[in-house]
Amino acid sequence: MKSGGDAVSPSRRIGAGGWGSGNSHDREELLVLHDVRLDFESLRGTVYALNGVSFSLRAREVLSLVGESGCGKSVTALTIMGLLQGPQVRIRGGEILFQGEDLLKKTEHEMVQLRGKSLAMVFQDPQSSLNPVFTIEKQMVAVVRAHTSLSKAAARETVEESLSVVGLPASRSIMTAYPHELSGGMRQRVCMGMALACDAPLLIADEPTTALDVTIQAQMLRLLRRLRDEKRVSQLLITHNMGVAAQASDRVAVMYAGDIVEVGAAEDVLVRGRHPYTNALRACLPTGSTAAHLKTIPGGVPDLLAPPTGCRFHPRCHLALDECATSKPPMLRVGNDHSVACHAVAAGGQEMRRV
Amino acid sequence: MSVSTYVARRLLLLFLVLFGIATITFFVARVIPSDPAATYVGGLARKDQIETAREKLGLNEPLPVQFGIYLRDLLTGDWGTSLVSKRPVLEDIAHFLPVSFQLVFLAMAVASVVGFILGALSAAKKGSVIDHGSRLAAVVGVSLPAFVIALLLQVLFCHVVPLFPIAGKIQVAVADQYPIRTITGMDLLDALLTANWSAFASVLYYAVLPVLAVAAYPAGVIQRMTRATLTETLELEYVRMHRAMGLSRSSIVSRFAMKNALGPVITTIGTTFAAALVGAFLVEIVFSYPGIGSYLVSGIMAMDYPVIVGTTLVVSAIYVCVNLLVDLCIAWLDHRVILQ
Repeated sequence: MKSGGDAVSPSRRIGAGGWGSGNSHDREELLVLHDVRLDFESLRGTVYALNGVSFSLRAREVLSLVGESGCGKSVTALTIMGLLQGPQVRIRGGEILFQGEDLLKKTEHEMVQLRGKSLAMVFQDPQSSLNPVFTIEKQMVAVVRAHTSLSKAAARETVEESLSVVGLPASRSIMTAYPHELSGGMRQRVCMGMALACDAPLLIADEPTTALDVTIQAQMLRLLRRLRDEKRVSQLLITHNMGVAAQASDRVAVMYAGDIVEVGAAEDVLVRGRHPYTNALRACLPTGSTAAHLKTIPGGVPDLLAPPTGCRFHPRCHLALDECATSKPPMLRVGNDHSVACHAVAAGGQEMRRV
Repeated sequence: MSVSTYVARRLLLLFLVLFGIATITFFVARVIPSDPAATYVGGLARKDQIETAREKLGLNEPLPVQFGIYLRDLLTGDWGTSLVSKRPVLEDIAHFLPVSFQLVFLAMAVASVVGFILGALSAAKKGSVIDHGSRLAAVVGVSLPAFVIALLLQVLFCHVVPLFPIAGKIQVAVADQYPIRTITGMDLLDALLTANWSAFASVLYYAVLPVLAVAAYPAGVIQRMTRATLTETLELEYVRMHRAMGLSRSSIVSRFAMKNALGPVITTIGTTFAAALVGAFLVEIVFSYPGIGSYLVSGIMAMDYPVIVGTTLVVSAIYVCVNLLVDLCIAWLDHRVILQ
């Protein structure tokens, strides 16, 4: 469990870790994205960043959003948080239901009250996520007091508690520290502690382990799991690392160029994936044998200023049919908790791949 | 390194800087074509009187000897005698400097507060009417020389709308009736210390226009720096983190980002202090404000080199000290800064 996620294939992960409770799809849905479309207006034209993203996250579940850089994972997360603002951002449609309410219809003022209280987020780089000129205490107490009517002293106690929840036991000395006095792992723990200080039911973690070294990554993944099991925090985990996704999540959604192409139980997607892109991604994982070349998916990530028509993956897909270039494939249910958006799969053209 | 060691080292450095300035000003004063002895005795003097003066001022000695004597005198507190006022330069400086100091301090305080608030408003409400107005004001402040602003203020507020006095530093009647007892030489402070409210009000009233004229440039620079750093700060990752934690934009600006932006702004305050001091020299002339600026300018006009050298030394020392203060402030604000 201590080795890096990259070097280990998902199948071995499953043997080593497992995903905990199975029947998760019976639980209530905490977060539902339905056909979310978002563009950026840039000087070069319109960037079609999210092309109708749909998935759902259930209570006490960890869902990983995996995909290549630039496929829209972070944009999805920031859209849920309502942190994408500015004249260049255009939300063209869809809904984001959180506990039954549409976040896209909320005002900024309402979102301010939800963020940190109900929706929490940690970012990739804990080095730059914390304000360098304020102590941890000052930053965290401000968050607690923004969402509660606690006195300064009571807020301080809450902060101390949440620091010990994320595994920072000598929290007194950490509270009076400035961010630069802590290690990268400690800083990421502080960020998580801050995110969870007000007992938010949903944590969005955008590449939370990417900036950390491998041993700390493993610790952080254990912490995320413990938060799910003990504090019942649902998590949307954004990662480009299939190993991390396998190790940490109950379910996985695969994203390509602003589309969700496959979603389902982690084992179904990562081991018995049906979408050609999912399988191509898995084929690219290093096998661990020495001289083997790293495989790549032919072609490049599409330019979202002029994305391919139909299925956005079709120019790079070896199974592409004629209709792939013309119509966007609908989500097709292929298992108990497993859906794929692919014309080829729908046409039965692809053998189920086994590892 | 502890703060006291650091300050001691910087002060040592200050002496080196002052020695350099003393050397340069001494030789420059000797190279420029003028006859200090003739200045000393006045325009209608006979040849032998000038000769006597030359002997008296030590001008017949070789240059290195003169320089040695000059350095010795500087260290022993004898900064020479003004060729025009015939009084010891150090005494004159002690008399005129506090007046200017008061002016520049008030101006810098006004400029810092106004500049910072306008800059912060601009950054927080980017692209709004407030932003455009504040930027326009800053451009005016930065581009017009202080003495032009001084003249404009005189026209506007002494002539068109006569609200403020056109010249002087206190109303003569008030000064006669409630004389200010000199403690620090800064009238406002002295009046405050002796609870002399009538004089305090009068001095403040007379200082309004000169202070505004001096403050315009630094306020403009500080506004621009605040707006730029705060704008930059608000795009940083940790501000996004503050937002992700549910802090509102206004509380992020007022409770966090402002402190993040303060470092570069304080540096700017330090550097514009020098500009304000030079600006004050000319503003003092315009408002007949009897400070070190008026003293220095009349010294320059009369080729009164002990005055020029002495004033230059004092102003340089102030500048170095302000820079030291700025560095200490920044280290205090940001714990990542290491003094060395």
